[in-house]
Amino acid sequence: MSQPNQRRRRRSVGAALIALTLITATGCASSGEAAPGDSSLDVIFPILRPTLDVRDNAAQTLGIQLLVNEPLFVYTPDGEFVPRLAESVEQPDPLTFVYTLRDVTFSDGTPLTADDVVYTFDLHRDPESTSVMARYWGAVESVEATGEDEVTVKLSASDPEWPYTVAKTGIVSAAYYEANGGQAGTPGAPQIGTGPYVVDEFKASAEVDLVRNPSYWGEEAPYESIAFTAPKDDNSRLLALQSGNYDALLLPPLSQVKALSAVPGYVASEITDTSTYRINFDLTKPPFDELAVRQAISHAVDRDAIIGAVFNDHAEPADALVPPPILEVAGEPGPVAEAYDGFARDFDLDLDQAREYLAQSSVPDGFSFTVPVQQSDPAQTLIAQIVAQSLAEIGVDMTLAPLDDNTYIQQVYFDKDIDGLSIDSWSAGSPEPAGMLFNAYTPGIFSNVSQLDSAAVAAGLAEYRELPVDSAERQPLLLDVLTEIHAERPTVPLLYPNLVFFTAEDTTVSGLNGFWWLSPLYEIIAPAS
Amino acid sequence: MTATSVIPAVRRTRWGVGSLPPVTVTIALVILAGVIVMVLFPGIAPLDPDRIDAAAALQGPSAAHWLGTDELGRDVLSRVIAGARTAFLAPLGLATGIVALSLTIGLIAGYAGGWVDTFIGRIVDVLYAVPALLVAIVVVGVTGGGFVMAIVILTIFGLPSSTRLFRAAAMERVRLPYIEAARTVGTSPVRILFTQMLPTLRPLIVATLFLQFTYGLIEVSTLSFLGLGVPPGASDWGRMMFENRASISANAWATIAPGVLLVLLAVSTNVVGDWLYNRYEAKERQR
Amino acid sequence: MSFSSVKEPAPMSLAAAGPDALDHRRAVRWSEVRLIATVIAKRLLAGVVVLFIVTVLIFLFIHAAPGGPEVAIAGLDATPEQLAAIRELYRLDDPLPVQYWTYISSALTGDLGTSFMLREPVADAIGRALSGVTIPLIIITWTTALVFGVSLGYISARKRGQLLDRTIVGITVVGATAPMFATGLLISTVFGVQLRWFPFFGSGSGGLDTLYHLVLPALTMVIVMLASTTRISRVRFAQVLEEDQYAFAKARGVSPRAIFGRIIFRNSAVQLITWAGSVIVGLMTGLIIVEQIYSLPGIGSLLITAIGSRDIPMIQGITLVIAVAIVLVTIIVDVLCIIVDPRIRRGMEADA
Repeated sequence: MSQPNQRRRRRSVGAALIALTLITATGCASSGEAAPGDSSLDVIFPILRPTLDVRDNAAQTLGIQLLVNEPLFVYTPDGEFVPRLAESVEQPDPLTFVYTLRDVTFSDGTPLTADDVVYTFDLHRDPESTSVMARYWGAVESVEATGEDEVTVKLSASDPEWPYTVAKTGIVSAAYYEANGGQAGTPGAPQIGTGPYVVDEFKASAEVDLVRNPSYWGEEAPYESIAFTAPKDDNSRLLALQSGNYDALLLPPLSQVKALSAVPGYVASEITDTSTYRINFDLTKPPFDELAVRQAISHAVDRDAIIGAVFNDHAEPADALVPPPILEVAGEPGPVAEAYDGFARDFDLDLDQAREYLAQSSVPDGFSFTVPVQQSDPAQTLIAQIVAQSLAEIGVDMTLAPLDDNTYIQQVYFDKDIDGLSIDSWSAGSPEPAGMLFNAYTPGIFSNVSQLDSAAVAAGLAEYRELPVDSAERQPLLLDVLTEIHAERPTVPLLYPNLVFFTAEDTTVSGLNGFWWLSPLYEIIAPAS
Repeated sequence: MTATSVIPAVRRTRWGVGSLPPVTVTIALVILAGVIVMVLFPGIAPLDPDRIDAAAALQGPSAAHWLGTDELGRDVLSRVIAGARTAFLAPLGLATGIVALSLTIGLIAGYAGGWVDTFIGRIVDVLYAVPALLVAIVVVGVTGGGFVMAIVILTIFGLPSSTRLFRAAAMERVRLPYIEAARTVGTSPVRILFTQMLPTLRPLIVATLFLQFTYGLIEVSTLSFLGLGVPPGASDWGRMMFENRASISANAWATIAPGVLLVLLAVSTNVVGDWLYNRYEAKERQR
Repeated sequence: MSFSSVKEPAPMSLAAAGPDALDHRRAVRWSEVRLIATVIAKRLLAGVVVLFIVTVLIFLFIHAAPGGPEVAIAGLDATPEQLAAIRELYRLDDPLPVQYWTYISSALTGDLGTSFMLREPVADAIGRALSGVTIPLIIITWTTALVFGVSLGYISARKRGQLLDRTIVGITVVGATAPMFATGLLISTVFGVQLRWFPFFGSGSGGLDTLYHLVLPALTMVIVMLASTTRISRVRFAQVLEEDQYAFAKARGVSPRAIFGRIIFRNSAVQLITWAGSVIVGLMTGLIIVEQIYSLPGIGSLLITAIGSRDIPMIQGITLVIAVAIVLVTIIVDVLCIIVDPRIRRGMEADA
């Protein structure tokens, strides 16, 4: 009978397929990851960018970039700038910086010259540049190679951020970029630098494997290799940690910290991060242009509920835009705490008070509006829902409109085309105490979401720019500026989320701070010996 | 099928070529009825589906919350019941639209024949090959369009299969004697279509409605699951699975319950639709 | 996605089949070869038209979208001057027809442009996604679903009405109708997270490790495809088995092999080939869902990320690839149907 034969043949083909799959499946159960303790640091990272081009990396991913491309000066956890590729810097006048370069080579053997530094700086400065850090280069008037190993930078105006910008800029090889059509850092043309590590393997947005640079000019780094991976969802992250194949997990979502803490063999380090979740009012859009409305909403937000539900208590209530650690660096903690306590009274959850303020406004019976929500940030979405419920209790009806990142950024920051309220999180781009204030409250600047236009604030910030870096006047001046800002209530600061590192028991963590990514990772997470 | 009587040895199945036993259909109808009850009487939900209670987040099943709570402390059971509304009404609207349009187009094509038929045929052929959901995902994603745009796209690309069905049915009926007679007498085509053909097509229309509902349910819930179309916090079954997926270890019910109901509803409408279609086909073969 | 036991009528542009099924001629005549060539040529032409329309439509949609790529490229800290400069650089303010023409003319030479977000040629990124994840996944799923689906459908049809048949039909109803993301979640949670039998994210490090990572995603897609293939083939086989020609042939004592080859196969081939084509197209949609659930760096994920960052060249490139694939599949299906079933050929000759 041929029909059963036909059937049998098909079935045996099928069985063979299954068997093949199963055999190959069981045959490769090992993950190929190096076990911890043998001089490799395997890190679970929150996010990886699609390229290792210096123009595409900022904040956390600089932690990886700077291991390969070193800056002229490195910012250390104790707040010092330590010479790296530059041996020294001279300041003939307040707006001119002359850097003398060290005599080192890139990992491909070519020497580092002043031209490479100029090329790198121009990558960011170029008005047509696509660099994500271009904003920080606005005050730079000129960059020139004034010698074989000397670079002179002239600023057009005093810029307290400048030293931090230098610390964030990894130097690339001009020749290498040119040879690769003006780009490097793609899988086809991996990034090269002078740093202690070189790129071994790179999968866009998924994996970065670094190995020690055998011809590194400086002190040998403690790890033979450092590997980064970025799992995309909670289950994979938890599983990765449970596998025991990783030495560190950086910056997990705070909602998952509890589950991750249950994994044995790891120690959690937690500090306040230098970013703020906040509600922004657009002061040009009624009824948010009325102080009474803003005050009403300030008293109607339940911070504790948000911190509990969204962040599992891994966050601190915020009373001003700038996280206290940033201001404390410019002086003492005392005055900061005092000022912030004063602000705190105006953000107490008090629905009766809120209704009273609303009654004084032009919309005593409440009003309704739409809030754009960034889909890619689950925390933002949850916060928006909780805020919506709170506001409903005073008669204010908030509808959520989910948007993808691009549309959100375009609408909220550039077009300012919203009903008047937005919820977002804002990070300090550098340890510069006034950085966040410059960014958020300089009149006319596009990132001034609230469109606050206060002469007092502008004057205060201008005065700050002229102060020398070590002046004792900086902190009191900034606190005054904050008080001025607070009086207008352009923002309802919600909370400062915490920053959590999970590290294996055979490592030690030191110097963990909000700007850990400015320092070499192997100094923050060092082998236990 | 004239040779049937001549060869009695041929076995004929009791339930026709593709049908399911009656007990399955009954269960499907019961499930469908249950969902309709949830749609019509959302008040049977024990608690407010949108009430956020941050302190009670991610609890397992308890006396107060039979299916536990989601990440904002909302009662899962109430949200599932409330979600029946979008789960049911959206695909229903989509299916009705598709059936109405494809019926019109298919009947016209089948009845008119000639270049009208060819013209419509070509367009349908092109649309037929394109996967509706793929286009919806790309276009809604790119333009940031909302629910309405998604429905429009799904409707347009959902037309071809039903259009062919109705066209074939129309073509088969065009040659029937009483239709020919009506034509010769000079009855207007519209009258013929409406008074003569349409009534005989009722079983097919209902069957198609059920089947298009099934596809529509799958498509719409997939879009919600990808985060498109429904606002955050809405108690939509697909959206609930999207949002609660990360906390599946804390309270799996928040993800499983809407998923189970989605599958039950989809399977039920599919079963009923298949059963109706097979009955229609059986009758057709007897003509 | 249209998966059910509903009998799909033959495409309108192919003529209805004639009654003679016991056609002995296997060889294809010269005139038929010419016919097939004409059909291919016509289909290709139509395909080109379709591709043109698709590229124009996608182009219009992307440029109608709020928020251009300059925001994604330059990031949150971008200055308005930077944004304007980027728009200049990529000529995003040129009139649309000009932009379209620039794109199409280079696309025809194989240059699909450079991805804004990946900074590498779009063709390279697509090639990597396809060869690394997407194509192996499609091949595994397609062959498994078809081989097992047709077999099960045949067994079911042979034993129609009996317990085995009813069980199969019952199970396949659920399998074919359950939304793929629901089964995907279930499978990844049970077999991946809980039981740890298979990995459930990423695509591994190439070769066999990649296959290991593709098991669960393939299983997710196979369930739906297999169930619906079983249903379709069962219906078709059962119909053929009920037809007179089958009874006749059996009564005449024609060898089972010939029965299978000529009657069962010939009569179901068209349906099955057409169905095989729609499975591939259906898999394209399934890919997007499955790649999201299992974090696979295939073409579905690439498309979703590209849409999110308004990576115009990437979006256009991927939709072009998908459209070309669909057009090719349709042409191949049509041609195979013509070759396999002489009634269609004769119908077309009658038409011509």
